[in-house]
Amino acid sequence: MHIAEGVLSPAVLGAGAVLAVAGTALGLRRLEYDRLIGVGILSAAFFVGSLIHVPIGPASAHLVLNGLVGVLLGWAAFPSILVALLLQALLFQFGGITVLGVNTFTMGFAGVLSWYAWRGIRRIVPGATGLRVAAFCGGALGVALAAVLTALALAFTDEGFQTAAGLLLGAHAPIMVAEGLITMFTVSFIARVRPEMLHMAHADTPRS
Amino acid sequence: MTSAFFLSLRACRTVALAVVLFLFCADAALAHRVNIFAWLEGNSVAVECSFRRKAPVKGGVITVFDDTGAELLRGTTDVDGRFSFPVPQVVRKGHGLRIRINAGEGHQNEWRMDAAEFAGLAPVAAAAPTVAETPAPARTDAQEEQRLSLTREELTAIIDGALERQLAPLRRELAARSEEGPRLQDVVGGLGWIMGLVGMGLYFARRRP
Repeated sequence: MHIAEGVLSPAVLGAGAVLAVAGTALGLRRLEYDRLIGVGILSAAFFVGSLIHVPIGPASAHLVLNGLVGVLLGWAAFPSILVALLLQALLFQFGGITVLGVNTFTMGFAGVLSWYAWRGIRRIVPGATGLRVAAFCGGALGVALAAVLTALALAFTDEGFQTAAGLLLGAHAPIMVAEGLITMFTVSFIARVRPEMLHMAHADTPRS
Repeated sequence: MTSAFFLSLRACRTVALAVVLFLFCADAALAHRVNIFAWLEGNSVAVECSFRRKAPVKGGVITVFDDTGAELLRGTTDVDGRFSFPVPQVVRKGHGLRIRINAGEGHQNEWRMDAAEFAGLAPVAAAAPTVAETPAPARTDAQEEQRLSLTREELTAIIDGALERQLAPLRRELAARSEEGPRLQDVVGGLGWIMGLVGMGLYFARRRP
């Protein structure tokens, strides 16, 4: 999911950087004091998650965890993922500094969209089952949307949108299931031990 | 405040668990970036590409450029992630090479070979492309028995062949070194950075009335 240096044209890099800055600004504005620790923890999870490979399927891809970050943080997923991606680029040479904006946008925005999906499903299907279904969908959708957005960024390279999207979705199909399950277990665990954490992301809707 | 403290404690445990998990499956948990390594092998350049150890790039597109950025040739890697091509003529004009691997899905990396790496090439070597690594010593051994004096080219071929055999393990070692994934200190350092940033964020948010 991490696009490397030198693949994208300056126009795409610039657009990605602008969108990432906008998303991060939105996320920081909605960020409250109490949630700062949560943002840091999920940033750490995202940072380490990329080292865990799931050796199933044609290409063993690694965990992304942007769906989990999105479901738990909402728009605050942007600063959380930005920090984690910056450290991955500096320490692991995953992605790169010039592509940081594009990578932050593809994974962060996919996380935010899966947050909206999570909220929507929870509203339609209430109760414990709804919570599980919504969390699974949020986690899986985060990876799927990130693959589509990454393919969109690659649309202007030699590879083209369709090939890239097919390859990325194919390679990440096991990851989608794995992350759906991870998000489901994490969210139902949090719902049991610390339910107020799940409502934090809701709290910012009536705030402004 | 205490709830936040307990929350952070629990999360620390989760992160610690993740780190332990990572250590246990360290073999499966290596880098997700594409590695490229190229070296001179006789009169050709060998390129080897992998995602991580034992995960070669199959069918990745290799593009070779000279110093001016002009594209010299293109090819694809085989099932072992290897590709080799004859040394292009431009290197004899003092050019280096820039070899790029594009493994698809936005994975790309480059390897640079300086002009100095090609300095050892005999100027006439291109005219005699038969001077290969493995058959050359056998052929010259047979000739050695017939006559004692060797031409300059034959001597060069013998030395090149012997050097190649000696240097092959070193090259493999270097290639393996370039395929190394993130180390534990990188992971721990990154987690420390995140904790530090959260601390800074909390400090500045607290001062605000």
